[in-house]
Amino acid sequence: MVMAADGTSRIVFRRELDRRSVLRGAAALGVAGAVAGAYRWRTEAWAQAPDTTADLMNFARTMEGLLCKAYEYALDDEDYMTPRDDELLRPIMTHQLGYVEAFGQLAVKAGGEAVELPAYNFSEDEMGDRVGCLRTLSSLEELSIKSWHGQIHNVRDPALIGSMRPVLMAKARHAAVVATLLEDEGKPFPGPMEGSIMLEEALDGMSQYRGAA
Amino acid sequence: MKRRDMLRGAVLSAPLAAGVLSAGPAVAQAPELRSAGDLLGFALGLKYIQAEFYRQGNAKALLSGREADYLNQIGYQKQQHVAALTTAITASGGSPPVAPALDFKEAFASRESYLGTGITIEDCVLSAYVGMPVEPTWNSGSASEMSAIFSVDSRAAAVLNVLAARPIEGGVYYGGSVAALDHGEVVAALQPYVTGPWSMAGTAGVTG
Repeated sequence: MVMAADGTSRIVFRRELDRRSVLRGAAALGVAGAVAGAYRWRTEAWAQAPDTTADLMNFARTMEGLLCKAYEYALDDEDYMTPRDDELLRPIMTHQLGYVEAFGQLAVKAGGEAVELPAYNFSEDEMGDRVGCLRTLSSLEELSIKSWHGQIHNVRDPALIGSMRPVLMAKARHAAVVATLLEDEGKPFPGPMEGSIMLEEALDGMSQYRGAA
Repeated sequence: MKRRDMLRGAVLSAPLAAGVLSAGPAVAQAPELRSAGDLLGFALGLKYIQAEFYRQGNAKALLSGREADYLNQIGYQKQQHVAALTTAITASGGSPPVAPALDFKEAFASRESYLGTGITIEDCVLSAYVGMPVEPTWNSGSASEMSAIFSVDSRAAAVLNVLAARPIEGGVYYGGSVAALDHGEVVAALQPYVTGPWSMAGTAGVTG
């Protein structure tokens, strides 16, 4: 989807933009290290590109794991959130737990293994109050959605896209709800179409939360 | 691997995972929607309904403040979706389907009825997307674009549910997933608002 300068949009069909070319593009951007089957979400392999379906499922597992931990952190302190916040956010945390489990199982079914989730750190400077927590959660939700929309054409099996559609749609609901809690500051509708980012940018966004190995 | 085999493989056993990734594909595929062109036309038909719904509803000024701002953004985005899909169909050599005549009846009688009908339409459109066959758009390279459009609908559905103070689960969220409807179910659900001929498939030129 391309947004023109005049605000109009058009769909660019990507028949020619196959998964291989996307990976080549990622390599050119410095993502690479696309060694078949070698992707593992360990600290020493933080920036390796997914090359198999199992890798992609593990990327998803790790991204959703980060979000899950962020929700846990935000909801752990009763003083941070209002009862309404808790009512709306706690179910998301439960959904995130389901995603982590589900993507791990899909990685196994795809012939890989479910990677162990890394440690994550969240700073008091960033998440020391209600607004800080909501900003971080909103930022991570948007990062997750954009990273998924940047990875869809890396999925080899269209049936797998079908399997993931309900999750992608549910994640958009999460993002919008978190944004509404930020009131005037929040943007539940960032644009007419979801944005997308390359893997490198997603990894950069996640890496600031990486804990000690 | 055949699609149905993949779908069986996607059924997960862990309680937390149950219903998360397996909900979408378990849907009968409408035989009418076999090509990317069919699907783009189908999507455009849904967008016609949404865009007109918000155009009429927002003109009634039933909401104020941030609520009105949200609904205006949603309405604007639907218009953008119509424009994008129309352009895509035309650019591929096809003809967009004709927008149907619509009557939303009592939907604009009050704030509550506006939000309630909006929720009905948004949830239906989302389920329509989840129920669409994947292969034609995937083969044509437009799967990610379709996803980028309908994901925005999902945001609208959630916000409308929040504004209407609907239940958290079974309203704002559906257990971390979204149910699927097939083509026939979608048409049946939206038919009450359609007062004229409704050619959802169009004659788009994109082939899957």
